Amino acid sequence: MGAYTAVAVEQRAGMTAARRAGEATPRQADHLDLAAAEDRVLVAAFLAGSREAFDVIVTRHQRTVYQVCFRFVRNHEEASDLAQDVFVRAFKGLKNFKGDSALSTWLYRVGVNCCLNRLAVKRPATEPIDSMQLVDQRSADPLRAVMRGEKATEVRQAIGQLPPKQRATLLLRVYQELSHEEIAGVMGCSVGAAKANLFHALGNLRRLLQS
Amino acid sequence: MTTHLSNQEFVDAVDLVLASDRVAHLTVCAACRAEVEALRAVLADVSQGGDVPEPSPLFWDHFQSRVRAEVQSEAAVPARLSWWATLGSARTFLAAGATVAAAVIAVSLYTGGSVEPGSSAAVSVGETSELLGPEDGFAGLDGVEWGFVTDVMETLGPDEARDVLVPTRHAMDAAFESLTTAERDAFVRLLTAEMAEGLE
Ligand SMILES: [Zn+2]
Repeated sequence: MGAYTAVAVEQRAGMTAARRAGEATPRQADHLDLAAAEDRVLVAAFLAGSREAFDVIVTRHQRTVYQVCFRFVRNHEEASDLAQDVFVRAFKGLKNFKGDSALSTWLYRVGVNCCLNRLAVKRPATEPIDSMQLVDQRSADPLRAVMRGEKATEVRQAIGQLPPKQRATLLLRVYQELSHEEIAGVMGCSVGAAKANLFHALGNLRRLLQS
Repeated sequence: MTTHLSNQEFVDAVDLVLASDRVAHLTVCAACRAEVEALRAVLADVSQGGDVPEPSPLFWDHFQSRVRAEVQSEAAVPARLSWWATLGSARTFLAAGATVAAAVIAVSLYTGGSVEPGSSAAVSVGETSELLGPEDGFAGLDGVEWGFVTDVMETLGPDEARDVLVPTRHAMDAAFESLTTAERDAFVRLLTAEMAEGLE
């Protein structure tokens, strides 16, 4: 029995270690082509005890989750810690996933909560030197690339100064391309509140970029 | 002229989904048009600032391992209840009105029976939820001891008794199994003292 399987079984049934040792792995999951399975199938397989299903969930969503976290904190180490936290929470909380939204949306919610919690106990985000020096090398015009790089840095710094919920709303809308309805689901607010958050985020950014 | 756009309508205008009657306002209101254009310009700027440097391919393999290790380590924690957590549970459990489990231990001590770890009274705490009587050979209790247990239970209504008894079975099993000999001795002493207080 794999590690995830054992833990999942324990979580579901609250069995002792001795009892777990004799527990057979749920078996339908073993016969699925997990790599090609839809998210809802993976979730069901995981809840049935499949370690491999959770591995596939992590593999499938790790980059997106990491990107959301990175855009919040603009720091690789912090983003990877946060992304790890998201999947650990997902592991423990997937039994509560109702399936009325996409798994990715649910993971966004977990991720945004992790990021908001982190921001609540940390200093305001600052732009690290290495990412401030990032320049789009694909451009044929170096001067234009430098200007674009400077502008991007300026924008990221401004985003880092937004109130956390405005920042989350903006990042989900612009970079993750979520609908207002999906953002409302992630943020646990009404669609109107999600739109209002976006409006205020854009207004604040305008002022920050002009100053 | 109609009223200016609301915050939400500005967002709808940027998204090009503004209701037609409000689009009519936009065509005649320079202030709202300027605001919409300003918001679009900020959005265009924001779209330039979203690059996320791609970590090395090795990072993702390492990441999976980290997640797996973290899940395993977190899962290992609740397998062994801390002494203080157990103590807290015991206090809650006693404050709720006492259960047969506590009564069994208390009775054993009260009547001079030994409650060594591993003895029938100590390790069969969870079995009390089976609602067995002395005729079932439960825990080796004699009629006097069982009478004490039933006296305690009579202070609870049938629903209370069921609520208290049934959920405690596995929790008490796990808690007691996780204790060292010294902790079990201390646990029994504490339960006895608390029971004595509660019965005064
Ligand atoms: Zn207007």
